[in-house]
Amino acid sequence: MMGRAWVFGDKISTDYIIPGRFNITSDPNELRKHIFQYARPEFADKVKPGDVVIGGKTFGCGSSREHAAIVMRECGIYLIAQSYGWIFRRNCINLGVVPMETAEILDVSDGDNVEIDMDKYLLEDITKGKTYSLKPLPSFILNIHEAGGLIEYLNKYGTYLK
Amino acid sequence: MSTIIEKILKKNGTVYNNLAVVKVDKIMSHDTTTPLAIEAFEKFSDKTIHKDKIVIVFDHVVPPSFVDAALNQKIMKEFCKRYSIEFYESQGICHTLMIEKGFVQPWKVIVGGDSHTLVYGVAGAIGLGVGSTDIAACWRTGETWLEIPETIKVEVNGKLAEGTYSKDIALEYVKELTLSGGEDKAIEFCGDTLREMDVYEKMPIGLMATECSAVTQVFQDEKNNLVSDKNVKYAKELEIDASTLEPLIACPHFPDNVKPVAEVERKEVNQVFIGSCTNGTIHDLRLAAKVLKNRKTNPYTRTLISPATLPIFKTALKEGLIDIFLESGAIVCTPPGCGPCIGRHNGVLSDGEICVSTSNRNYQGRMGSPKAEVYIASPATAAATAIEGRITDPRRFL
Repeated sequence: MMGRAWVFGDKISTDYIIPGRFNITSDPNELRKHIFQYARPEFADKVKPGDVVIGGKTFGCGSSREHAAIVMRECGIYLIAQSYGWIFRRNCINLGVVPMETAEILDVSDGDNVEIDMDKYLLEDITKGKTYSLKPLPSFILNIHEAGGLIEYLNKYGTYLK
Repeated sequence: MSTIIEKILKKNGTVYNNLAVVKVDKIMSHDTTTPLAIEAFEKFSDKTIHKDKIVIVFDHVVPPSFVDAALNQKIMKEFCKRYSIEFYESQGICHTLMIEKGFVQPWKVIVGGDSHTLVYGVAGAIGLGVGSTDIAACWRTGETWLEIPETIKVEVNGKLAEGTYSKDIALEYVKELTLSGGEDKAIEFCGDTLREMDVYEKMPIGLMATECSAVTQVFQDEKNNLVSDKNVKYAKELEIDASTLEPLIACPHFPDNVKPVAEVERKEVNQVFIGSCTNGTIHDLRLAAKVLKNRKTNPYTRTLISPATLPIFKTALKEGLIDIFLESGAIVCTPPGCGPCIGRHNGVLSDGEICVSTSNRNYQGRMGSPKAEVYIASPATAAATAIEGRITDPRRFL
């Protein structure tokens, strides 16, 4: 599925993804309205499923608020970064959003048409005609993803290691 | 050859290649992370719950200051009642409370629905900050998983220079390691300076490992045999000479944007906040009182002081510290809670306001308006700033 690239820099905190003052509800639709509200106010209206959020280093640093991962899931986006905040990465995995990583320096501009091939671990920038490799996911994390998230995984297998 | 972190993980669970599945001793969550954990838990087909491990703390929006928060807390109480779960409402900030109540024991693994849970390493435990779904999974299984992190060693030696405190050590290593420097790694703290500190004095140091994006942290503790094997290989080693430190301050909008206070002195400040899980202990209040005694805070600078727990508040009352604060014109915020630090209530910032805070992070929008600026410093620097109404080196008041 082709989508639009939304390019962010390094050190995007969970406060930046969804400021603390909006985490007053667990209603995903309500939370989704406030994604990147201060920094990219147009994001919530324009983002479409299949779009790709591209972060730099330590994407999702800061608080443990799962709301930051929920809004990613609600937008139906793919996520690529050089690295992640530890808790945010886990939250994404647990909610079925795959935090893909790349070791490559990406020359992707905001607004480029991009496509992700999850089987081959590739990111294609269609606008620029370039392809980048993504890091394969550890099997344990892939298993959680395939189950649809951690709750679904534990419902299926009853334990962390099946 | 193992690091302390590896030893604790092995003691509490099973290691498969680089993946550890470990038993947890306590599962802590608060009023921001618990409601979503309850929702996640309801999705389990098997509702077996490890209720004896669970501690739920109401500290983030207490008492509730808006209807949605009240609703969340109502749901939490019903859940606690249904499963007979231990909870603490408005008794203190979760991390300080957990340590004070003795819930944090050496060689244990504790999971918490809060990013600063890793602070439990000051008392020899591995603290893992996680989100709500992981909390629910721990309630259900009594276990959690992690990829075993490499360890960074931070050694601090020497007598702290005048006007510097454990918070300045924290700011120094956050500056050196940077915000991304602890990614996927644990930090082990050691050295003469730290050996002499009690757990509460260690808290800012342990807690701010989160601000380097570390997975967890632990303090070396010979008495409890928490030492890494000799010749163990560290991912990185950092040495800090405490005697050469000067008062430090993290400038907007990142906790690793650390400068000497002297470099930003005289900047006008609208709010000072002394408190939080980072600097709300009796040591911090005594230090603030030492600076504020027989002095007045600047009337144009709203000064908030909040003891981290009720026992700390009581001690501060007995020692006359609260009197000193009230006489100085400061606002003493009770009950203990996280309000100002998370920009939720009890002192939020408007556009263009500048705050010096003893809390832990200063991301844009953290304490209110995204157009506000937050500086992070020690209680001494914060108190000196409150008097002058401008960022001030504390050494002139000591």
